[in-house]
Amino acid sequence: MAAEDVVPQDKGAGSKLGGQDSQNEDPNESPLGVYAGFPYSPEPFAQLSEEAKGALIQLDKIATQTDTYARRMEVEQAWEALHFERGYQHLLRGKRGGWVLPNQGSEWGASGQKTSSTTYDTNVYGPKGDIIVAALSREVPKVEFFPANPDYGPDQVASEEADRFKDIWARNNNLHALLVDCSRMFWNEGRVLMWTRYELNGQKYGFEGDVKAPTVPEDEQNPPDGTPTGQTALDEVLGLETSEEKTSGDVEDLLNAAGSESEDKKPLGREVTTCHGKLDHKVPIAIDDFHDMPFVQLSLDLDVSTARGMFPWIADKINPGTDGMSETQLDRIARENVRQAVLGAYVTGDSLERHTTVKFTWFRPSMFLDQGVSDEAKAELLEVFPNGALLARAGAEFAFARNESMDDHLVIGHPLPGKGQNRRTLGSALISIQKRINDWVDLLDDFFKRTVPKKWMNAEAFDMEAVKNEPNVPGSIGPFQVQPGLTTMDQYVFVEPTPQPQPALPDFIKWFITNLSEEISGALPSLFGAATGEQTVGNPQIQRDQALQRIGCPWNNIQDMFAAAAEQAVRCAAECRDGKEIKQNIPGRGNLTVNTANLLAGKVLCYAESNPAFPESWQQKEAKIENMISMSASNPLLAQWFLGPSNLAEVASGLRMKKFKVVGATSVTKQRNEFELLLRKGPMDNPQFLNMQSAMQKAQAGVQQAQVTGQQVPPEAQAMMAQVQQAIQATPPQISTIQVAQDESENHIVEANECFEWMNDTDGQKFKSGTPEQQAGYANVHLHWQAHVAMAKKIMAANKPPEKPPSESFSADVSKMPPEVATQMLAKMGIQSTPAVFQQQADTALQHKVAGKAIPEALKQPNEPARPNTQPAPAPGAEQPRQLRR
Amino acid sequence: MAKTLVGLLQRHGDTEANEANVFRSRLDPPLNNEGIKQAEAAAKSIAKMKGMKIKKIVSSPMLRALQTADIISEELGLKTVQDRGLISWNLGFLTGMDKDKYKDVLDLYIDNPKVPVPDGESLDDLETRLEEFMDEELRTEGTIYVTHNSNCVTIENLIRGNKDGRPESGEKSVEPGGTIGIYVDDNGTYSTEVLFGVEDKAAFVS
Repeated sequence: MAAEDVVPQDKGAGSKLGGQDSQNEDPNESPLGVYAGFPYSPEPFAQLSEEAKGALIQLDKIATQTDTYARRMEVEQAWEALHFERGYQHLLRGKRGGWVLPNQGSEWGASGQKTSSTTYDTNVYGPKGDIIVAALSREVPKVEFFPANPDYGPDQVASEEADRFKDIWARNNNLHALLVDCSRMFWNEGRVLMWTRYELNGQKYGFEGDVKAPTVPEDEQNPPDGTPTGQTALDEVLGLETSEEKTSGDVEDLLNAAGSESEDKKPLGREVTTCHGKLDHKVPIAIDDFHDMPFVQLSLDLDVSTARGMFPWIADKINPGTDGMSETQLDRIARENVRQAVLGAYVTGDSLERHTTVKFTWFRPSMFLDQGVSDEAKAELLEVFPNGALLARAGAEFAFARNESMDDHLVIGHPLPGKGQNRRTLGSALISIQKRINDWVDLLDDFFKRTVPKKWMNAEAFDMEAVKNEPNVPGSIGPFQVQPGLTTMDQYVFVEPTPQPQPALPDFIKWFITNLSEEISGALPSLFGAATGEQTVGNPQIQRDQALQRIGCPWNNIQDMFAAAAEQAVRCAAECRDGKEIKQNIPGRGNLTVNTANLLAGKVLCYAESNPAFPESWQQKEAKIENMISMSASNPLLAQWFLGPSNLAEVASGLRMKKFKVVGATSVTKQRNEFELLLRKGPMDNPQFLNMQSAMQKAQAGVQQAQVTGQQVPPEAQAMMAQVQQAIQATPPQISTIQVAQDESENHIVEANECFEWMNDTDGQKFKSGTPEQQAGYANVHLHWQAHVAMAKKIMAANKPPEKPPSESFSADVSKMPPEVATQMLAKMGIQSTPAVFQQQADTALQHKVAGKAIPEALKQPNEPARPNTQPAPAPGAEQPRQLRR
Repeated sequence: MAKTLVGLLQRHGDTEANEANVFRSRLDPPLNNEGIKQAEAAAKSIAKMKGMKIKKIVSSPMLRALQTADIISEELGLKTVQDRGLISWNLGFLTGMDKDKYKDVLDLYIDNPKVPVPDGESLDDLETRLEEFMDEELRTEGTIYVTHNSNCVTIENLIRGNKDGRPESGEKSVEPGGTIGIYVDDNGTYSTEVLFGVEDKAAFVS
């Protein structure tokens, strides 16, 4: 079973879409996730009385109309920020909400272009946001699972499963993209809603039993007859007939057949987490805490066909548009406008005519106590929705309602602390700065354009019509009549003095664009290591720390949100996957298996990793690693552990050298992958031990038989039995479920070391004293470690060089001995000599000694030529001058 | 022993920086009038030259070299290719400094060729770059290499197989705008000879 799992459903009884007569209006009998993604839950769709249904819709209306003014304000603020980020910044508030642009021309034709060109955007807000987003999305937050009750076995097992599952969730959701989304929303919109659900989506994840279409081998242009081609297999997958078979068929029949077959398909699903900004979701604005919110609304604008595919049981009733309430119109226009990336509040009509707003509203049970709900409806709602309700509407249509707690699927986060739900965003302080930057830059731009000095020319001396028609003359030209008092030169051409701009304005603009906006937004250069101002030792570090502290608060909030979402994803997997196993290959982790039955059996808690430090940038990591490498050169202890295979893999990864091959790193990965298998069950019985035990039992039975019959047991047999008994005692009764290689095809030292590290680490200790299953897994790893150690010792012993035989040589200084003794000593060693030879040698040495003291230095070799001052000849192996040769 | 002309080392023409006696290195001054004349003279001489069919012109990307190369390419009707292999020795902080005043400093880096000039490159780096470049380039014949004096001196060192020439030390392979021929004999040994322009006879004692 892959990470996408089929839901245990027997739905699919509904007939094809769009047919008024055959559409099954019971959602419980309709195909879910076949035509479009559907947020699945094992909870059945509620069968409500008309009164309770009406009450639920009434509550949705109340939620929509709550905080009308405050909601409008937060939408306009978020909308403005999103426009600003894109660079649409000359915005004026529209009379009926939204935005209009001053001097908005069609830009068709010269006059339109001229009108539009009077204002320009100097986008500082967007790029500063990029800096903050880049800093916040350096590294995906790490989360850890813990058993809700540390002493309860099922909780312990569930936390282990959840820890593996989080990697699958991370892989399937591209958490980095999610982090970037969340950070960008923190910058522009502030509040973020994270929605986690189990999404059935055949269009995205495929269907149960899907096979990959085989392709024609690349080296064969004409495959043999019968070789499956991509097209035929694809047709099979899609349930279509091949082209030859299709020719005689009726197209309508074919489509009908495809329709009914697709309903039988079981779509695959995944735990999905998405981020939504203020424009997409609405909450009661005055409430401080998520758990006190009686409702949360999430609106998605989908193509009408997608909305019909999502809710096939009401497909023919779904039309483009919203729920019809005026309060939602501004939100919708804002969403459409931002996604279409068009200026002001403009939205194309065709999109409004195609899009249906699908609205999910979560209610806490407290909402059913509203005074507008009748007692009967109240009782029914509280009974049917004990955890709260999820109401789904497509346009104005009621799609479904089911028992669902918002705490199991939603988490709301803000970048900064504050009261209420419309808090300051990371970028909001920069909006007013941005507006003034645009005004002043436009002012300066206008100044430069308009203040080319006007030139006056003597109308009698020049042909003014001809001069005015000259297109390349900047500045306007006018005729003048000769005035008394002008100089001779000025009587022909008079140029007005050039106005000077406000001298402080350019500097002021620069200050606004750089220092001020950096200080206000927190997007300081020091965030990425650059120092500003005084260049003293440590100044960049201090500035970086300050800059990181500024974004510490949003970072901690992101961590908490990711931890909550991870916990919700685990709960979704536990509830929606029917206790089946998930198997998925995760790069860097190998094949992961998660038993969702264990997730369901226990309760887990999830927290952001205990290290609250802000993630380092790659540059910081690289600098740290480089520093440690240089330190390890002079510190053998540091070198020993830093350059071990386990850590070297981290070093290579930290230096971003993916293809850098580290000796032993593959063995580390191999061993880590083996842990996954080793921890699934306990050790197995040693077949060798069992064989010996069986042989021993047979032999003992033989001996007993002989004793009964009075036969003599041969002494050889007794000796053999004693040997077998010894062998049994030396053989372990159990062995690891993964055998180690009995040769050098595995790196036994590295793998043993990895096992050792695991056994003594928190994980190993947890297994050592955990549930019986965990203890068995620990024993399995322990035996595996023993096997590696034994094999490593065996190989080392085999490869050990033969020991040197004890030396028979001895040394003695015969020159210090009397000549006779020296002669005898040499004779013993086989060297022939006489005492006279030694005596002569001693005499010569004495003469040299005397001469050395008696003859002055000056008399030694008087005619020796001066030593030439040349470089010594290069030593063998020394660097030679290079020479080019063909 | 017969030797064959296989390439030309062309020193760029004069610039104001040459006249000011400062380290040019990565300064990018254009040719002055004298430099343009020198390049034109070189172009004419090369056009009349016999003994080697010129196939391409490779130039350092520095403006003075490119201008020289352009003048020659116009005369020969060939295109100029830029290659950073021929760029001048990066003298880092010495760039733009007075040559006489900082001679001792330069000597330090020439005598210790492995030590990089702060913010620049070591002499060894320059040698390695030029060796790799020329080793590859000289496999094909008929190229004009337009470059700088320090590079000419270093390439000649590489060809002779010694370190007699001291780049940037006032020693010249040839006067600005001059041309040096690169020859190869039957044994595959390269040698150089000034073809056009004034040779600085004092520069090398082979």
